[in-house]
Amino acid sequence: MSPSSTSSSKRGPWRLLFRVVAFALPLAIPLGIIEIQLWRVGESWSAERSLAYQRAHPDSRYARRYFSQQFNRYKLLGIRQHQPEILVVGSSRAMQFRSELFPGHERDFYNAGGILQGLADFEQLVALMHAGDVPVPRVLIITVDMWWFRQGDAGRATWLTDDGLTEAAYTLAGHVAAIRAIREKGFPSRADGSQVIGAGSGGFRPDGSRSEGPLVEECVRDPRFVDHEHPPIGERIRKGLMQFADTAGFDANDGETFTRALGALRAMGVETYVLFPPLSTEAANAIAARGGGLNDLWIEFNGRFANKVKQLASVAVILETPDDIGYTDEAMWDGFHPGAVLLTSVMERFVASAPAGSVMADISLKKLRELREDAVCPRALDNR
Amino acid sequence: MEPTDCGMLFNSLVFAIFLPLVYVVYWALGSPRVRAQNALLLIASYIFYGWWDYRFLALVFGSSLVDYLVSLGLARTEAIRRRRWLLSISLTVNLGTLAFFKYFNFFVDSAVALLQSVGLSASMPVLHVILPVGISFYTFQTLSYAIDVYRRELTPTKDPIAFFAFVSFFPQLVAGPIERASALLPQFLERRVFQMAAAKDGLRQMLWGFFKKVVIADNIAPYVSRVFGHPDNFGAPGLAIGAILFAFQIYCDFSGYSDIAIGCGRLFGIRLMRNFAYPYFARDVAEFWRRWHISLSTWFRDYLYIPLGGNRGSIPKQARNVFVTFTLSGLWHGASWTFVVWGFLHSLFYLPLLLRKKRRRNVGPIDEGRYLPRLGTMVAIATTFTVTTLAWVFFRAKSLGEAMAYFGRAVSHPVDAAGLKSLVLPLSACVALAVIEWVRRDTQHVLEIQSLPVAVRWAIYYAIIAGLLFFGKLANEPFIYFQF
Repeated sequence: MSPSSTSSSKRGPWRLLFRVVAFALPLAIPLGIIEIQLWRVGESWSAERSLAYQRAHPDSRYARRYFSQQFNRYKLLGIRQHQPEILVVGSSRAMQFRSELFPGHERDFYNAGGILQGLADFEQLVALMHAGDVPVPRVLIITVDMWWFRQGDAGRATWLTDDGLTEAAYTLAGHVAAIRAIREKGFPSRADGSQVIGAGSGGFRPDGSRSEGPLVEECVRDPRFVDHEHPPIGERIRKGLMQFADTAGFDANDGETFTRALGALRAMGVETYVLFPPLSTEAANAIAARGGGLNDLWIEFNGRFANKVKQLASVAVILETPDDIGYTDEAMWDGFHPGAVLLTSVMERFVASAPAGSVMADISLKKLRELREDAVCPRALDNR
Repeated sequence: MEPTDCGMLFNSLVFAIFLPLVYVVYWALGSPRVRAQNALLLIASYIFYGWWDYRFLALVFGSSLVDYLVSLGLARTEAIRRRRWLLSISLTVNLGTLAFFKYFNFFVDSAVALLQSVGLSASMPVLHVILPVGISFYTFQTLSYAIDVYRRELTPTKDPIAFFAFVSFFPQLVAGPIERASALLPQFLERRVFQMAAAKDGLRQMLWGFFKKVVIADNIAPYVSRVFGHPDNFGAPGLAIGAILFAFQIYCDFSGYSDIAIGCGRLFGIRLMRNFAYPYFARDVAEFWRRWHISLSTWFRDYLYIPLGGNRGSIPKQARNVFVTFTLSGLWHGASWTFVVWGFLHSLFYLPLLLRKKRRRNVGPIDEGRYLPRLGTMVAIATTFTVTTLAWVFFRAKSLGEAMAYFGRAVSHPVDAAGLKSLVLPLSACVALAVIEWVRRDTQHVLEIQSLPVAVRWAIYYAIIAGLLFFGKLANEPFIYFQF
């Protein structure tokens, strides 16, 4: 080997590295700018950082739009951080329970709505509490969805596992998904001076409840019921889509699983307040019109199963439609998400039936009524 | 037994940091410091492997140690009995480890089923053993070293660091290519000179490997799962496409891994053997096996088929050798009767070539210099692809019953086009890949494009990277062959 080729081979690895860097620069510069902006708007903040920020900023909201919101991770960490005495769990239908509904106990409250996407998550959450991995609250408010009990469903695996809890901001896939989202959502931005973590509208308040953002202003302008879900719930039912796909009816084994988990909570000394949130009248009528197994599921869920739950829970409120508690569909954000105003009445029932000595019994019914009377629109208490 | 899948995958962020780091330190040490470079590669490889589960390191270390010592022992003795005894230690340790971790429960379950089939009830222990990733690959690699030394085809090395680094070289440790010591070990003993052209070509090969894995294989995977998971939702056309999609999924997944491994090796001045040579253009099954997983097929040829007698002796004896080799090669892939049947089917497909002495009919280039294949070539390629794809159904199915149900459904619904529409897009991607590969079939890999102008090359690279960015599934999907 000649001296020149030796020196060339000595420099070779660094020349290659230089060329790779030069090649990557045209890609790296725009990607770098995007990454910086994602960080600036809080999109790529980890859930831990977001929660720490929210603790110091009471008006902040967690509203990722480009990265996965990861309810499971964000809310589970939220429970661990808050160690609440009063904890709300359920699907997104539980998200409107907010600290204002617990006057005198605002700081003892946390809403982990969204953490339960199915029965497996409820079982897993109870197991985590039993194992001491999640703090055990004194009061657990649980919203229950009919589609957790569909017969013939293989059952969704729980997302409250180590794999499911990987922070998207720490993974290549998470960043790539965020960058890809720019194609349809545009360059990420947020209003100057706002305390929103992320580029989304609405988002989660420090107490874990959901702010509906611009929808509140829309409701104030025109309170009539509009189903904002995509596709709307009535259409899902009529076409048999998603949660409302055809089924053979209610799965008794799933019912057993749920009541067993309730029993486990009671054994841990937890007071359980169960809410079957209502569907809009339009959606409930659509189920009846569809008939078949879906209607069988609906009837069994609100009938015999509800009665069983009433016997096991500290308090249970079973609502098929808003009418059951004196409201119209205007109290619903869409076909299956009740607004916070309706929940003031649910809270009144919880409080009225709470066992003596319970923190729930402390809650002022008068303040709940005042909240309802001061509400800015039929489904929102305020614009926060 | 379950393979673990949370290690340092090539398509993970941690590997994207790990590789440049090792590259920089490796070349900073410099070519003259071969032992230091080997030590670095050894440490890096153990970190890479330990990322899955640090406990597995004991296995790769133990396997390396046994063969290192056995080979030194073989070099010191001429006594045939002692040499056989030493070799038997290597065989027992390596195959015993493999049998325990990979096949224990399979053999127990099969024995219980056999006893039950003759009316005897049996209860045997079932162990919950984690299958160490890549165990089949590195045990075969280190085993071949001991056998070569026993055969006096190789002089054993006394350098333990070079030997341990050779066994555990991270690019090919967990899914091959299964290197021969005669080809790879000398590269760990000599000074490695950086070659710019080879390194650049390695990067191109890695890029193509990533594209095949994360854009094609991982995007096809959900469609394959849908068809194999619910064959009742499809008719024969849909099931046929499902099988074709799996043929492309496993090809892109595995050859993608091999491309990345080979390309990675070249960054360190190390040349790994070719593992795939456009196998779906094979004109018969014999040629398929000269083009598919070449490092495994040649391993079985050299260490099993030829020692059994190969193509010498009577036709029945030759047929036996073929059956044994293919069936064991099937079993190598996994502890399941589906793999055994897959291997057995290949031996059946091979048999006519053996009987007609036409095994080596198709050894040359495929229709060299032609844009379109000849009609005869097209028929031969289509026939070979069809039979290998039929066999893939057994490979993909979770059980023999599931595979038979798949075929049963296709037979009972021969013209039912249900579910077909959703499969058109992934099938189109496979056809596009096949066209690109056909055009590039005379190259080592598709991106061997160094002769093109720089602007064209860079445009192609950027297009592929854009494909990775916008269409690739970058969710750390493990490679299929890790489970073997």
